[in-house]
Amino acid sequence: MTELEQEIRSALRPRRPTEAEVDAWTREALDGVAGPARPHARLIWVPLACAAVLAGVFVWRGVRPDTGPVATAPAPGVNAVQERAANREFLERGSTLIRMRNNIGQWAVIAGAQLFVGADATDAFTAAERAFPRAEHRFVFRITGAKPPFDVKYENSVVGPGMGGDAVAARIRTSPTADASLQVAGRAAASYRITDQTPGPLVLRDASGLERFETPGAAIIEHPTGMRRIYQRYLVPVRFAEFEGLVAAAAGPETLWYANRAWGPEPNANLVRGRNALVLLIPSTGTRLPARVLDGLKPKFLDQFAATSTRFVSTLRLPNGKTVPMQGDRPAVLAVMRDGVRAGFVVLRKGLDPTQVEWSLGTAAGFERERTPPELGPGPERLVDRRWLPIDFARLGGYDGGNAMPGAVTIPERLRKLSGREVVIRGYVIPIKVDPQNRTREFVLVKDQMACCFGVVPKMNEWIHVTMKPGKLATVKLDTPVAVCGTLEVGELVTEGVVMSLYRVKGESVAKD
Amino acid sequence: METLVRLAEQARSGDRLALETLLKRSAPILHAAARARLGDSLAADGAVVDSLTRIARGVRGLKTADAYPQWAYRIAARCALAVARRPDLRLVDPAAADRHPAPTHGPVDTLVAAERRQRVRDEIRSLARRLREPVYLHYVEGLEQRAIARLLDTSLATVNRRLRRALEILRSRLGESR
Repeated sequence: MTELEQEIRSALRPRRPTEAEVDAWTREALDGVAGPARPHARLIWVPLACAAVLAGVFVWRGVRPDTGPVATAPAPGVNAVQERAANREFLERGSTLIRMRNNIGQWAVIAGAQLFVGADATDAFTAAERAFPRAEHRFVFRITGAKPPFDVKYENSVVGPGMGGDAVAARIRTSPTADASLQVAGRAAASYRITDQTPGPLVLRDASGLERFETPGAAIIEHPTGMRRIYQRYLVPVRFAEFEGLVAAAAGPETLWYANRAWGPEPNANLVRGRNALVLLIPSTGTRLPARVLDGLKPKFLDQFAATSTRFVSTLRLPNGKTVPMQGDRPAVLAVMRDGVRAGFVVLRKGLDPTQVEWSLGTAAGFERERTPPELGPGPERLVDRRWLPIDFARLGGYDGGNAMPGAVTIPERLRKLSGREVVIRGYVIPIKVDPQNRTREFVLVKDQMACCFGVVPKMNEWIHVTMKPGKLATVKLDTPVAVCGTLEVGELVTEGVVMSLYRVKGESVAKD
Repeated sequence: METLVRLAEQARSGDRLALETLLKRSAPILHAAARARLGDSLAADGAVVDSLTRIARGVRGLKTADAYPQWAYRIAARCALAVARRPDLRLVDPAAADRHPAPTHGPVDTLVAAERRQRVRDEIRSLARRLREPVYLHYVEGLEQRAIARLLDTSLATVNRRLRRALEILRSRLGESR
């Protein structure tokens, strides 16, 4: 056998089914058939034919089986008690969003207008799929920040025809100078990488730099493949200056509609102003089927909003009486919150300036002040006396982390320029050596607890090797964020052919964050 | 193969025990067929159950027992295709197969070997299906060329030619990285 053949065998090491598995499969297969002889099997067609005839009679007489309420219609029969209960539930749901500060580092999935939180994306996905097995859209995000406005990394995962399970992950920060990243993951295996950020327009270009276009945003993004189409479809343009609070794209009832509608993925995400707003995606036209919620799958707080029209409209009538013509071929539904609902959904067509909308009903007024989480306490800002440059892992890790092979990671020039600067950075400590007094001279600083001990293995650009300066020691607190001040060194440190670290800090002090 | 044909003959005549034995004997080959299509063992499991169910239902309608291997293989391939079309299919990262890496001398060797295996897997996956299938069946599942020819319903010469061609392609692609 040649060396290549041995390599093939080694690489494709088969997982041969065990005897127990084969037995189980055989049993399952034999259970799947009702014995070798089924002389009366064809009798199954008799009740089916009867059902078909009855269905035909119903259709002929204009009687349709109840498939649930029309999604876009207001629920006329809801009495005050039910509405209060619905409102309470909605507020509780809102509290879930707020309580996300307790779930930092975890992943959340929005499907069917509900939130599912899990230790990792798979857990959250599993929970969402269990609850909404027919949902074609699930929005995944990772809760990475606690302080409002939330710092949320979210993925828009679309499983639908033609999309093949592509996922878009976007990290959105809320400062005009914040880092941002957007990547396409999943089976498409394409990735978009932000190489620079500016407060100006978002410029996209492919790896070859051939295709470019601009859209409101604040970053320059590269992507290695020509999958710009997907990007355009799923980009959620965010003007950072206006972006405030948690914006999550929720499938909402559309999740359920998709099952019945010829739908081409078309995001209707918008510039959103408001602290807590959910942006619903609007299905396209091209179908004559009425939008209906499948029986038994109605989102619980669907009643919280009502559309201005039971049909998709080409002109939006705003609450202040103005009308806004819808441009393009994608009509939308403006969902107006009912009276008494203190936070709600905002559905706007892309391009509609939210500042032109007078939100008289159901404004995305956000949650009350007291609902916002308390301040975390003095952060590294108190250490900033114009000496320490505050940086964060979003800035350090905003590019492909590669692997530990030399040359696998290309550190952007903007980060290389930071080498030698005195910086302050927040993170969690993973000590390498600890003395009996629980102090350490050398430790690894990671961005969150998920990178520590369990969870996700951090990429090469998501951790910093910190060595305290002579005479300095840091007290180890594993689950407490700290702010490390020191001199940053950027570059590959290669030992025995393996990159040991990309970032190193000569630590001056470590303070509780 | 001859055993399968004999069992198929008995199963056709309604022998339940023969059918059960036939399914058990066929399962590894069907698994190999599904794996050759999907390139993923776990996803292949689902396809095997579907295939066995279809075989159990349809074996009595088989015209001749001689055609059983090809017929079963085609069913497995179709079921694998159906699995591959499922929108919720999540193929397991092939790197997961490296949970038990080959013994090497150090972490660098382990890393290099793992990357090399990944490269080989990627290249095999990129082969055309008619070339990839014989590679899987021969080198991974250990089937002889004659058995592969029978399964794929083609000639021995064709199988040999495809194997040779696949190796040539792999050698040319992988040779550069050495």
